[in-house]
Amino acid sequence: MSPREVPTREFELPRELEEQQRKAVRLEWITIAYLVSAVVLIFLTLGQSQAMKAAWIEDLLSLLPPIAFLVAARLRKRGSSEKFPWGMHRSVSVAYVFAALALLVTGGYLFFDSAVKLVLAEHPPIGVIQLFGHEIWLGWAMLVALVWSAVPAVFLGRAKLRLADDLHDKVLYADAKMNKADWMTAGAAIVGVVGIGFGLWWADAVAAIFISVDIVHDGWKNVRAGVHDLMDARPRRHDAREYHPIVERMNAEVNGCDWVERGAVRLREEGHVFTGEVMVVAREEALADGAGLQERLDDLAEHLLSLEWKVYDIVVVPVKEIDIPSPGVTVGGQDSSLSGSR
Amino acid sequence: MRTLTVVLLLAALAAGGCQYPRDPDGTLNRVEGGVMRVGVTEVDPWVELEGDRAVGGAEVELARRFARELGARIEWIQGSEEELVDAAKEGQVDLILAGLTNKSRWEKDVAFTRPYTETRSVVGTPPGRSYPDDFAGVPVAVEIGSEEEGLLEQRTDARVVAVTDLASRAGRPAAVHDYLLDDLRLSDSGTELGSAKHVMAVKLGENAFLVRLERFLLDREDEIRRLVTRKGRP
Repeated sequence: MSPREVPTREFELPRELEEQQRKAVRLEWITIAYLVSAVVLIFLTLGQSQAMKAAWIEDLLSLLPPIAFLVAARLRKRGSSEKFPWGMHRSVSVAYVFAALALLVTGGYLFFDSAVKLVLAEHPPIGVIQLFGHEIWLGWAMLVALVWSAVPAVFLGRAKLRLADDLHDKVLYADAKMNKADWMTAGAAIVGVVGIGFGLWWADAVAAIFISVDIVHDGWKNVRAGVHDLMDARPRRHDAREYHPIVERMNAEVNGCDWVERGAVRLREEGHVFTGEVMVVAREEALADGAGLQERLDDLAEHLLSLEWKVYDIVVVPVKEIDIPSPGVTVGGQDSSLSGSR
Repeated sequence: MRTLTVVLLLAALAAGGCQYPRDPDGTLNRVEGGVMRVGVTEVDPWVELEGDRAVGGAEVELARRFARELGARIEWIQGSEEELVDAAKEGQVDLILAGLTNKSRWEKDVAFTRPYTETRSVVGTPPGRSYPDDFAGVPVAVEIGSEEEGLLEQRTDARVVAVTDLASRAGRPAAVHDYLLDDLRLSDSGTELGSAKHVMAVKLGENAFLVRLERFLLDREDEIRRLVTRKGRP
């Protein structure tokens, strides 16, 4: 009983999605260029005030997800080597954890920074600057910088969400959330600067606290999902809302084969793609027919790979008994994923 | 997006009508036509005191002109830098004159104006004479116990001559502030020991008052320069 390995595919993504992927890469380069401009602009108007600092650090942190995405986009296609026998698909999962962590840190920072501001009752000073020979209130310059840090981020985030849906790409999804965090913090800072102008020193701290709760929630959800992926948890959809249906579907297909007594599928996420094992207990008659069994195992693997582009590499193994749960299959009237099996 | 529109509308309204930015504690409104409490600490040539009374110095002169513009009477409050900063934090001092620079450690405690003037410490030499760049072995006078004495030792190879009164060595090489050069009949050798950007301080967050003061100072760069040179006479 030797495990039969199916040769891996040449392309990670189906051809029509490769086009989307190129679009996503372009979008991330645009994002980086844009964020750098926003970072510089906000830095120039930072002044002595603490009010803009959160928005600035936030913009710096939001450089992380696009960088992680681009690095992973280069590495993910590398074939297997002696050092990395499974190839580098998982670089995408690592990038996802990075992107999610950036989001979480942003939210946490914003929360504590604003809370400290409120508790210490910090009154931010905003004076005048000289611009092209005119003296203008620094607050106006800050507002311009903040609007630049907010409006494009809205559109970038929306475009990324669409692509993330098509590509089932979690990094892109986390980055879209980061862009949302971007424009929301900038919005809070705008409220803050205008509030300071009216003599309401606490305005931006209060606005920022509300927003930080939302960002922390997004960050935490994504960090959890990313760590679960690295721990080979059962695959979920890219927005982590529910399990990916492929495991149940494959289980149904395997157990539907007439020569299979019982089968179980175990998949893990490696970035964009899923890999894993299929264990089958063959029926007596099939076992007796040695050469025929080999043929059947091959066919089954081919068939399962054709079900979904995300399933990239699976190994079908004949076994004597099965000791992993197989969700979606009822054994003796019970879903085996709930009971385990031994 | 909706918040953004609302905010911009509000901003436009504010700019069109009443005072913007405004002070949380209303300093500017109180001072205009009222009393401006000015904290002073003696720092030559910026603030000169006689007893508790401010009698001269570039910053004192500027504060007087600013008060005139606001129609305010000045109440002088004398104290150490720390005393004045603490008083400003509690809203008991409106303006601090203490020869502060933008490198001051009080940055987190009070709001600084933009630098209103910059001064430099240089090695001054008699006009028409030339010296080696590092002043190796040249006797250079410097006020005893000053920052410049340390800088002169570190940055040049000059023979440091520490004196109590620079005026007695007028016309001979000396490490001094640039505004003293003329009085000592020296010219700038190009060897700079340090520079400082000078600021005044107000209570944190009193932005209307801060903006008014900054506008006042920025409009008067040349005037301030003349004041410093005149008051710089040792």
